[in-house]
Amino acid sequence: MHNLIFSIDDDRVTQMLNQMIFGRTAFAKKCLPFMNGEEAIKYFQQLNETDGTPDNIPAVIFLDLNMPVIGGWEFLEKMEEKFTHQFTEIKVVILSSSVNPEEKKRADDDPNVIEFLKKPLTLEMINELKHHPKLTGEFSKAS
Amino acid sequence: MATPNKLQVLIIEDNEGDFILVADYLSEAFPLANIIHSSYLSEGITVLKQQPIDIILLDLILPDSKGEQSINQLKALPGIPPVIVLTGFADKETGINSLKLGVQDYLVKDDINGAVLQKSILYSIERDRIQGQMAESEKRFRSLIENSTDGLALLNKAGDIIEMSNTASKILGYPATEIIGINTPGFLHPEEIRKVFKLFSAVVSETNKVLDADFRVLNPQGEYIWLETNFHNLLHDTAVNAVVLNFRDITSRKKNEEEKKQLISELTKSNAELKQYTYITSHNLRAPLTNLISIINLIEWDKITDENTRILLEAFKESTFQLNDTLNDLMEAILIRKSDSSKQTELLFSDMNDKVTRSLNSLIEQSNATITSNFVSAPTVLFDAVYLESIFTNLISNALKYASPERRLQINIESCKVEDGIELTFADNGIGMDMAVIKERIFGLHQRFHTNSDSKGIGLYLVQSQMNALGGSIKVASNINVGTTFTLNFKNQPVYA
Repeated sequence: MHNLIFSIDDDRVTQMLNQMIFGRTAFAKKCLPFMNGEEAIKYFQQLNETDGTPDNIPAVIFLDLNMPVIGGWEFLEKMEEKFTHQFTEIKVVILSSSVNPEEKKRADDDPNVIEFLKKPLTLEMINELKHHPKLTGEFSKAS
Repeated sequence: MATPNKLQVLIIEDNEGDFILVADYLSEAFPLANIIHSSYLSEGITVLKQQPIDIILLDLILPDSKGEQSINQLKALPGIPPVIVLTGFADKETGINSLKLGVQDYLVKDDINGAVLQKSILYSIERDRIQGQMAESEKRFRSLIENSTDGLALLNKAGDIIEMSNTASKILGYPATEIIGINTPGFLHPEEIRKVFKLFSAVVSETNKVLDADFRVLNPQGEYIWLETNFHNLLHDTAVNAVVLNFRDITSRKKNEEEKKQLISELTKSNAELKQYTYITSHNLRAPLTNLISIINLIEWDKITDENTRILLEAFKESTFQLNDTLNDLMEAILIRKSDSSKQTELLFSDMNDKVTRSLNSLIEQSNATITSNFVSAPTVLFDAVYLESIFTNLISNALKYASPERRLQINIESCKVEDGIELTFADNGIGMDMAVIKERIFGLHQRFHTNSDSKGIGLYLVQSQMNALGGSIKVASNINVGTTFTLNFKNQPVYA
């Protein structure tokens, strides 16, 4: 089980449902919800100022693409630019209802993105994700 | 012309003695020649108007005309035969000068004998004939140039027009006498000066070089006209010694092209906006819909004890999945628009038919339908495999859906070669439709013509979109209670020998 994951999505109902799914699948001990990319960026800024421990850094970020203020792609760019060091450790799972094939391609090309999941998120998806080659090591240790 | 022996000779000579002398030599040289004698120029001119003459022997001192004046008067007549001037020894200078006025030869009377006369006459007639031919050919050539719809101009090495045709002058709007050229300030459009100079120096630097270019020039009214031009370096050719410029006015064509370009760029832009709009709309619809699906997935059905709530939730679940299917279909229809011809491969109709009937097997057995097919005369088609599968699936399941309860369903699928490609028909003996009522709406989005519950009104729309996307078309013919035939026309097919 991961200690900490993030869910970045502007939809409150989605956030609530995601929480439920992470809980039921025992995927993470704690899931912090952020309503857009900017809120999450602020979190990392504060973390830097207060000398945050690895405990405060999420193992996985579930990221929606279409969001106000700072969208998914912009969030990834800002993270890469400002928090290069911490960011290399963080795995990103895109969670989007986008049918745009260009977005899928962009996700494939991004080194941080390990998976592109199409909404809605299901219990099965998360259970499968537990065995993802880029996540299993950390995960099997926890469970 | 008469043969030399039957020459018609006009001698214009006022001196009787000289005439007899010349006539004697003439008879010696051409025994059969017919000699006509005039003592006055005016008399000679009258003769010329009345009968064909092969050669004129002209004395330069006549009672009614002298020297140059006589020659000019004769030369002004239409179809004048060659002229040989006869001079006295004292007048030899005049004889020589008369050659410049267009006479063929001059003879000093004292030097004349039969042989000299014969040679002079034969040469004169032949030279005159050749000159006439050359003049004729030059005239024809000129007329070709002047009447051509292309402008023609000769340019010197510096790029100045040294000569131009009437059409050229008409197109440019400058009189042929005005000296203009690529060096004339303001003549070329600023945007193309460099291009034209580069082109012209490339032409000049290589013998026989030919180059084309479109560019604008300013007419005297201050308007730019677009020219389609062709430069040909014939500076080395001594007869031409110029760069030959051929051109035509393409201003209106350019204007059309410009408008077309503008239109296309506007269309492309609005198309892109529309596509973006579609993605956003679909996303906004999809976001709450995915939540609904997620909620259904997370409901723990065994914990619901109240029967009414369970029924309501089941209905909620069914409606949600229906909505999801519709949205997916719409998305699929939009994605068809983005397909291109690169995915087209040669496909066997029989393979596709087998594949689809296998996947629809349970439905086909349920309705007890027979499907016959014949792809012998056109076994393959160049098309997108995914589309073709979708077309077979849609049209076969369409036939299954609208089978008549009164008879066993028969579906016949056939392909054949037609003039502009390949035709594929799906014919059934189902309940049919009233085409007078339905017309072309049948291929519209969400058009439904039967109260069939599993009809979403999208299948035929997809088929038509897929056909249209690859340049094909679909037609339908139907009769109520007889059946329906869909005819698909695949265009852009490869031609096999």
